[in-house]
Amino acid sequence: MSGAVTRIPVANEAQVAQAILEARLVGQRTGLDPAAVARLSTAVSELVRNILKYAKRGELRLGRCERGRLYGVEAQAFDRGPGIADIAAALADHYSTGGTLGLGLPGVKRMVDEFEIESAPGQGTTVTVRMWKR
Amino acid sequence: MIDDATRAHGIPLQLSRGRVIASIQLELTEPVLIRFRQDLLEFVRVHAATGVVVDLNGVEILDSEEFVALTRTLAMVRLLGAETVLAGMRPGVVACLVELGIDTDDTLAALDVDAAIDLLHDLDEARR
Repeated sequence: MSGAVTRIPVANEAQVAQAILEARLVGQRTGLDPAAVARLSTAVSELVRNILKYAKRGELRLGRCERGRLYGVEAQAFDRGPGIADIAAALADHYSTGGTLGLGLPGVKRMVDEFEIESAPGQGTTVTVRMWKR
Repeated sequence: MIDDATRAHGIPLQLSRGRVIASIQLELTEPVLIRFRQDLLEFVRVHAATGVVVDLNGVEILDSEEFVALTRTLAMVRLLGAETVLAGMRPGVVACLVELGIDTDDTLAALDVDAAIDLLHDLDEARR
């Protein structure tokens, strides 16, 4: 991430709503098209709800990102929760540990331009997604 | 006809020829969804409504939990005996729902409210 980073604590439903709103604003300000803003916001929505559901608390970081001539939005969902033991399984469709919907990670991955995940049991989880302006 | 009880904080419910039209214009947070569920079920029962159209044209972001909460409410409405149709979902919303792998098989949908009313009419005809 480059430049100013917005940090939104995530520990309750109101902060989830705030995180989604901020994602939409940053997306719009960066000049993403409306469909890309919707994808970014929905991805952020899924990720921060995962924080609430599995880690209870965490943080969303939003900022601009650049690579060569490309620029866009980077969103990072960070928590120090239980972590994910089997990341490959969590990224496979129809994987779930809490409720029938699962982590939604495969869906989030399909929705965004770039997706990275770091996690280990007891170490928390960091999911980074990027959307590039076209 | 707009129910005053739902005007203050909830989602406005309109009744027209036995159909309820619920136009969602605010973020579907959990309290909003819970309130909507209570209001809608009561409204359908009191007015003996035969169909419900939920207009989602004003919704720009709908995540998997919100969509599932909404479709559960519609399943309850169907158990009361009224048909349900989602109307006016935006392309960005439907793209995300499908990418998220959400089961939409039980959900009837239409392009807009008029098309949803027509669809309810066709369902009535088919049942006769």
